[in-house]
Amino acid sequence: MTDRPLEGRTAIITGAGRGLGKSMSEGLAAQGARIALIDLEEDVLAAAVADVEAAGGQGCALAIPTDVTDTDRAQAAIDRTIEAFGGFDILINDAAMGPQFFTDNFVADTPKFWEVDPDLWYRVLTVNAYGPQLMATVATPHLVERGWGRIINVTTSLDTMYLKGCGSYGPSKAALEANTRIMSQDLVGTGVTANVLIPGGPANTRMIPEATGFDRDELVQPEAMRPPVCWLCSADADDINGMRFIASLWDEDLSRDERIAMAGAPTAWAQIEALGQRPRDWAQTDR
Amino acid sequence: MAEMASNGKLTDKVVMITGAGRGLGREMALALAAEGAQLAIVDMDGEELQQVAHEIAAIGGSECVVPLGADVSDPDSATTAVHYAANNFGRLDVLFNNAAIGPPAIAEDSFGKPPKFWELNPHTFIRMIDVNIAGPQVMAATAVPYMLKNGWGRVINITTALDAMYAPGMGAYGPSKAALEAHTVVMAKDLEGTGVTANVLIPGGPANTRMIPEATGIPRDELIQPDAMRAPAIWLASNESDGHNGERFIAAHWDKGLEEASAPCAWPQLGQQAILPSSIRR
Repeated sequence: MTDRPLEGRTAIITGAGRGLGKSMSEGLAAQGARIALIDLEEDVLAAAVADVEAAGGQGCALAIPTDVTDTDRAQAAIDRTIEAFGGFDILINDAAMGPQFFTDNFVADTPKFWEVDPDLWYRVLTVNAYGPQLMATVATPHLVERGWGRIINVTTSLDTMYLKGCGSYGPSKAALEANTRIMSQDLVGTGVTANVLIPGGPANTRMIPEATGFDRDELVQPEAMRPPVCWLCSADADDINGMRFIASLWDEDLSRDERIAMAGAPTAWAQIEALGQRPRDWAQTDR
Repeated sequence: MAEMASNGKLTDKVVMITGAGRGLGREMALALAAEGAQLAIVDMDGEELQQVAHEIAAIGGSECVVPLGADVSDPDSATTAVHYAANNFGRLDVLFNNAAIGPPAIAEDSFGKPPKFWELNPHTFIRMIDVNIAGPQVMAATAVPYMLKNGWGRVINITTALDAMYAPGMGAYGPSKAALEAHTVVMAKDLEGTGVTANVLIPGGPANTRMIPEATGIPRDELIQPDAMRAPAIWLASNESDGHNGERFIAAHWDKGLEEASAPCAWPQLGQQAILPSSIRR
């Protein structure tokens, strides 16, 4: 093993300007990957590129200002990455609008669902649930053609998906969680995998405003995302598909199997008995 | 006919049902009308909607039904429909968010020949999100203040089986229903103590509607028949379901009793998930 096991890999990371996205970018760059950083604001991106290059070396990072819900710009971001780096192997859908857009303090001050601004509710839904689908749609043909790839979607804890006061944040993440499981099934046999990675609790990013009064040290630190994301992007995770991993439970001191058992689970809520009924001819399928 | 309705369980209820032009929505509308409910029925297809309005008028009289051609994914259209219904009947008690774009929008046979997620037209994907999750939010956010005024009300969201939420080949259908399922829990929490409740009702498997096209080749009589929705829809819209909030009800199991036919909304069976440090127990 070299120090830079991801040398030769290229990752597209949305929401890379700050928080978890930026931290994952730095972590992957430090292991040798080249990074196309996607975010909305150019100045935020420029600062992030400087930090990622400090971690991975001059020229390893490229800023691509893009709105992930814009079809033309999403495609242009893919084209720009291929032009600059000759291709890409990894898509990390991290860009999201968090609870902080609905309330400064989602513990003490939770707006009711009939009180929230409808335009904001819709915007958060589309950025978080549609953006990743759009990015995956434009990225996946390239990954499948190469026969190796990763799609990593950042969702949230399963019970945060129905936390009140956060507008469409939770529901949008439930949609992305379900969609990741669909992606993983569609990708079987292609060499490309789709998995979920979450911090495992509220993280020390702008999604948790100071007004919450939380002790910042007690939050999941963004750096916790680095070891599991680097592992997911390595050849060692080639057989990992349709799983969700909790960064704060990821322990590199454990064996591979123990680590996966500790921090991993199937995507979505597959453990729950569905209580449904199926026509007889479906009963034999996995559906 | 009107005489029978006056003895019904829903004689004092005004109910709005989206996607009422056919399928489960039409069936529930007819069932509620037979119990004396006054109905605001919503659909995009005006012709089918008129047809259902005639059927309802034949049961409860022409005064008991208002057909409203509206697109739930268009906030102006959706809110106008809700306000119109509430003004017309002087109140609004129950909202069924039933309208949805199903798998046939993705492919003729989403089950036998499921398209891959990267082959989908992004516009179809976002259109499904618009109708299946954004629409119900706009409808509920507009309707609930009318219910709160009377201290009684129902929001009933039609989602799908938990494992259908991640079945491939159906575009945003499953994910959008997962979002609506989670959102129903949020609604239920926000409504606690108000007399208004939010619950989920599902057929409990693929139903014999246009959502399962003939091209699937599935024998129609093996599908859940839309009339399975009648009894649970009546119960949910009536005072009998007072106190039930944040639950999901499965029409196919209705005959086995409430315990068998119900579960909590979403996936709380999986327990506490988010790891919360001591300073932030919620």
